Amino acid sequence: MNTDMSALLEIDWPQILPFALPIIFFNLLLIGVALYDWYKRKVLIVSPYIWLVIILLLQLLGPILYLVIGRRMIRNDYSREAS
Amino acid sequence: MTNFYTLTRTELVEAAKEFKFIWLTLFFVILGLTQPLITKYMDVILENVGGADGITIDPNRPVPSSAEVLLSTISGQFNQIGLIILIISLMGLIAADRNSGMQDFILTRPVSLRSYLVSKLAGHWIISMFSISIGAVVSYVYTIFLFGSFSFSNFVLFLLLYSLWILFVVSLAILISTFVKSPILIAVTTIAASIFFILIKGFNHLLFQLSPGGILNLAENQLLSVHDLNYFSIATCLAFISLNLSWASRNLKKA
Repeated sequence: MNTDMSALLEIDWPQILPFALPIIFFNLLLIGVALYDWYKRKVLIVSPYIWLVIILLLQLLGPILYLVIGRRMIRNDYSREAS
Repeated sequence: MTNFYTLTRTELVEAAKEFKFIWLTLFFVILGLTQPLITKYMDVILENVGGADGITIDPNRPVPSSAEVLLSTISGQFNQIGLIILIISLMGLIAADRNSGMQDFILTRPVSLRSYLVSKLAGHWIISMFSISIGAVVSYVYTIFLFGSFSFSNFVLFLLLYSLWILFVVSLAILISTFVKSPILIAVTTIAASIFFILIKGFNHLLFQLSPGGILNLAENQLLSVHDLNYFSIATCLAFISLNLSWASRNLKKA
């Protein structure tokens, strides 16, 4: 993740926007799906606020990691200890 | 085969409940979009994003053909990071059932082991191919929009052959999850094995052509319109898939 935000101001936005737009749109859609699911399962999963940070900050990989791994890590999961 | 139908439908319903159709599709669409766009607009990106002073791109460089761009999308993006995410999404396919006791529950019913495994294979193959096809079609549309036309029938043929490779990957994940218990280890082992098969297909020897990665060679040659093709690797790929499945069912019977 690039933290130098001043570079964003120097970008020639009108030139780059038409082809960056679909990528940004689909990324936001993916984050939206992950956030919707996170909001519904907030009381169930292990350390929900760490997963919120991961979803919002890791671009493209974060929401997928949450949807594959995070939403299955449930508090008080006795089925794991039994097996 | 009503058992098979019911079990497959259960897999699909479960995937729909976990939003798997949505996020896997979105992921492959983003992957498919990024590669043609970056290839086309590399100079604009370098100009506009800071830290690239002094880097020049030869203005007379050859423009890549649409077949090359499609090939780099598939073998560079779908076959590496796409494959890793796909396998991570597949890692729980048997292990989750076994850990929750659902497998014992299903197998004490009058359900044969074979229809259980084949339904797993078919269900996850349908999910993966749904996402990959949409991502690949979006990538195809962008590629012909940016780089010029490419025959659609060749692309469909490519996608059909590529789906056999995905079928092999799913069967490999099933086989490995009968050996290993923990889902993370299953994912790591399956990723390592399939990357090994991708690497081995590059050697130009009959033995390596007959390895399961050979189907990937055949699929990529559809894009490059090479003529003397070795269609025999379809048969070997199917043979490897059935070998994986019978080995997995033998393992499950023993356990």
